[in-house]
Amino acid sequence: MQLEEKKKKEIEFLEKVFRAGSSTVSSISPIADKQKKAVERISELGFPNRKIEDWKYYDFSPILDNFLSLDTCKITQIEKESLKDFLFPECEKNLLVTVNGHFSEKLSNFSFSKEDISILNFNDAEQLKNYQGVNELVEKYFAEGIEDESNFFKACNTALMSNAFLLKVKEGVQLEETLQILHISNEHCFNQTRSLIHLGKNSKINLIVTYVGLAEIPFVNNAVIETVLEEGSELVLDKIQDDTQKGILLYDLKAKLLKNSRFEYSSLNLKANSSRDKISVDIDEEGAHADINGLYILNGERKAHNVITVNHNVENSTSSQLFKGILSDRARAEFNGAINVARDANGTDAEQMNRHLVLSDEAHVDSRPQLNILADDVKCAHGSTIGDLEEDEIFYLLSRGIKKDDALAMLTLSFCDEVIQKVKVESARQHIKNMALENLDTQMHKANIVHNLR
Amino acid sequence: MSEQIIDIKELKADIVDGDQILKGLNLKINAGEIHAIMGPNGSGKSTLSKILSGHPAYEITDGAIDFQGKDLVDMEADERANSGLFMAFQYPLEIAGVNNLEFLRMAYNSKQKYLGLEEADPLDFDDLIEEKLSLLNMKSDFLDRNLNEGFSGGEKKKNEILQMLVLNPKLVVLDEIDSGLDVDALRAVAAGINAYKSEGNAVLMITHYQRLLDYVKPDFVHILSGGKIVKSGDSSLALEVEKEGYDLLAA
Repeated sequence: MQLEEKKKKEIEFLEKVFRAGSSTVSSISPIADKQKKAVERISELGFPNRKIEDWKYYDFSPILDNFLSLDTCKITQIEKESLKDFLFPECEKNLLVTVNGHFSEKLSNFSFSKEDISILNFNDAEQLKNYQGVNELVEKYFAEGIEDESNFFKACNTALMSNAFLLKVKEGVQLEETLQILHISNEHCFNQTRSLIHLGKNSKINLIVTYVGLAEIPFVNNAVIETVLEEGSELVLDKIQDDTQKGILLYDLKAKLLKNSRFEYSSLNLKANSSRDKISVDIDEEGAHADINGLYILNGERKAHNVITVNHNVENSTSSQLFKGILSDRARAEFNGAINVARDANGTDAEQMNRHLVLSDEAHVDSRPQLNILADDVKCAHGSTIGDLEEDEIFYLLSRGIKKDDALAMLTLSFCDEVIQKVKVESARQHIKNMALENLDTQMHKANIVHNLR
Repeated sequence: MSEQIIDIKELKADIVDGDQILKGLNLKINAGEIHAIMGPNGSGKSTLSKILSGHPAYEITDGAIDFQGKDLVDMEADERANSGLFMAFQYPLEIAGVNNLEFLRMAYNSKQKYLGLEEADPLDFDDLIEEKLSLLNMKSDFLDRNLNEGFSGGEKKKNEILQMLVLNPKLVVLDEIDSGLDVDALRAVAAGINAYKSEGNAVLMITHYQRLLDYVKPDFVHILSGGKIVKSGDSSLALEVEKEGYDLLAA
């Protein structure tokens, strides 16, 4: 893109966001305040560039090229039948669906007691009025960090969001079932999906969030999730990004962990033209644990960026990160993961591992694991590997009569397995395996392998 | 005269882009026979097993291998396996995320398919495998685990023998199957080999020590040294080796 043309597109982008942002302000005052602040910040910051450390390897041109109208972001009629490939039977009774960023009541379904879990729409002032403590939650935890230049798209989301959710799990409520949150895109637009998830003391919930593209048209999905885990609570959050090959995903997750809470997170990037996951975890009270995992399978010209920060801000907390990527053709991956241990955070135990399987000479990986440790008494480990499939492993399978293509498929799945096993819902694990095989370049006997590997 | 299983003639082989290891090896094995190849470290024992099974890091530079009337040299590793050759690995590999039972069934069905026979469905296969398990004194939860993942040394070797029993090959090459085994595991492994053995197939044991031969009695013992077979005899040759060491015999 010519420099001048790029500048023009950036300005056009900013103007559109500014205009749309100014007209979509919520009627609830603490939310409106943050939205106004976001709009101000967008015009102050301007469009981000690669001089910002977090965006060093990111190519903005697909966003600028594909960013057309904000007006077309509307809810469209979708039959449930067309979603069947993306629904997990285990979550049949607990499903929340958005279409192009708008809540779809028709497609959603809840069996949870409203006493136990409240799902509130930020646009519905009447509904919010009946719940105590909403304003306080919004003031404390909503849209944190939007003033930072690296969070430009989070500011955009805050300014433009039309249907944001507050998902609140009541103190002491422990749910074994999984709630699926399905975000669908099927229009050429800049979608904002947004949720604030609050777990009360000693509560527990399993969530599986899926991003799905139903049409082979370009769109930009700008997703933000903020979550707060109060003392003793436990959140399992599996995110599956299942967009079409033309989707561009910007994803921002911020988690705040309070005393003795536990956060288990897995991110699975299976499709999309490009995805960028920014994950920030703040461990703000003792005894908390964060388990952050990711898998990305890339072929063609596809790209995946993972920018991860785990902040150990207090004493005695633990975290682990495991990210794995498989790249073929001319795919590119960036892993930029930091563990930050504050000066007083003695007793921190943190580990991080990033592994890549690179199946082509033209694929490219930038892996930057980082440890920033200011405390003395800590245990931290990190590592990064980039390799091909092991010749001896292939040979072992061949020597048992298994065909080479099958052997490669088995070993590739085997590489993914460690991350796939973290996903709690069985049918989701199977779906991920199927997608993994579909994405791989080798001529594999998919049906046979998937069948045999269960 | 009994059926010939394999005929290795003047076999020369090296590590790809490396040193020559086998320097003119001759060996003929007929159906119903158990052969043992013994030799000091570096004599070429492991290379022979890898050459026979088709490991890509080794190459044949000269000589011929006739396996059941087929030229083994031109066959890929999977084709060799499906044609009835099985190598039990000295160090079986751990493959995470691949279920042991499903792996066994895939291997079994690959061979069935290759031979134009009917593939086994999961239920039939469960029956087939149950009897093999009891023979090796293995519990069935063994099958639910991932292929060799976290297995002890003994469990890995038993799993090799289980694969052998399921695939029922014509020729078995056992590469140091006795290494790292305690007495109980060694007995179980030997019981598996003896159960497999019949008049229609053959066993080639590659070993450093005489220990295994107390449990599986060879008809022929060969001493491999410097990439060639330097001496052949009956099972008493193994006892001589145990007593005298390799140096004396190779001299």
